[in-house]
Amino acid sequence: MTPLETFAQNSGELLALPPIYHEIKKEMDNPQATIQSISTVISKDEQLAACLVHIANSTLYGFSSRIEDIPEALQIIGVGQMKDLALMMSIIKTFKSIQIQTVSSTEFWSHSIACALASKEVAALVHGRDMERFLVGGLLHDIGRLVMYTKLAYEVVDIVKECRNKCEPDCVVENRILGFNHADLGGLVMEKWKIPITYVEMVSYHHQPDLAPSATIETAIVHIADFFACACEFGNSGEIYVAPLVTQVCDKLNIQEKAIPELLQRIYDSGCEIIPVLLSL
Amino acid sequence: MLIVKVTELKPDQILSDDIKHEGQILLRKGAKLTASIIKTLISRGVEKVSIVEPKRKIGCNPNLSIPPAIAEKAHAMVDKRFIHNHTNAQHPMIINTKEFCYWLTIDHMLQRGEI
Repeated sequence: MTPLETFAQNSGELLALPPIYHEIKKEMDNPQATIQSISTVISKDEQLAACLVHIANSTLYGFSSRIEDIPEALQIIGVGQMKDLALMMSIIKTFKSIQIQTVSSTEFWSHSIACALASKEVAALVHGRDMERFLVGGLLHDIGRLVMYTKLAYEVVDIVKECRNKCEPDCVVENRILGFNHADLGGLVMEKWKIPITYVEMVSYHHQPDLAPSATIETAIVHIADFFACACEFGNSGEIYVAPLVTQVCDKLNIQEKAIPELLQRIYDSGCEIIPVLLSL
Repeated sequence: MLIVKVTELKPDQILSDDIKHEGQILLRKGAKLTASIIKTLISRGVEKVSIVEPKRKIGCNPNLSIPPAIAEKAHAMVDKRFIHNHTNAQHPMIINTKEFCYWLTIDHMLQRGEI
């Protein structure tokens, strides 16, 4: 049994997805569901519904006309994308209240949201389609850290000390001390949540995108997005140093050098607009 | 060269107290340096205009001037955060990202009143 499997077996439930997400997903996956029935489920959480409409009207989507309510958002943005947005928001809302000592919750989620926005921007440049699914991968890329902070608090103190003393990235030190790192742990959490495998790979391999078994491009996008999010300094998920960039993988995405400054600026501007909205949940 | 802190961008709102000592004009986010503002500054004794715009949008401006000690401090802070990228430090993605981070660091210094 690997150290990660041993940890998972002895730790009980790592993190539970919020009930509202299950309700929304169930209704959205129901072939008999209508826009109205999905809207009714989402509207059970008024704060979530209001925030969804706010985000639907933000520059994240850039629609010229104003979206007034959830039914309209579902029609314009699409049920699949709204499911991802609902997942994002319900996760932030639920886990934002978890008390952690290593880093403030606001800092942690600011960085996670920044990575989500950066993933979407990089995906827009590289893919030009299906960008919304990258929001989820980016948002959850460090979810394993949250488990570490709550279940392995003492070990995390040693990890942070060693990172500082030896000037090493935390995932290297985590591997040495625990036998696994936060990305591995995040992937495990995602598997338990039965989140699609592409998302699992985005999280599990976000520091080693070259090792992703199938979702290589998607994982590379989150990898670069994490790097950009760190550069934008929106919060901090607990890392001392910016994790190394696997440039061989980045080269495969063929991002032109001249596009990088503008890309970073877009991520920064988007973060300034969206992060406060999502943190208000 | 005089330092001018432009806290409001209409010329009539630039106060003489804002003109302190050598340095730069600080443009707030979303601000535009208009010809009339430059004229006002010149009328107040500014000999040379250098622009530092928060959020680094002005990063490629050839007139940009940061005091060497501040630039050195900002570079050191960025280098420390990106310490593990020394093996591929010349990759365009790393160079450009560090450059962005450098301007953001400068901006944070401005906001904290360190410059």
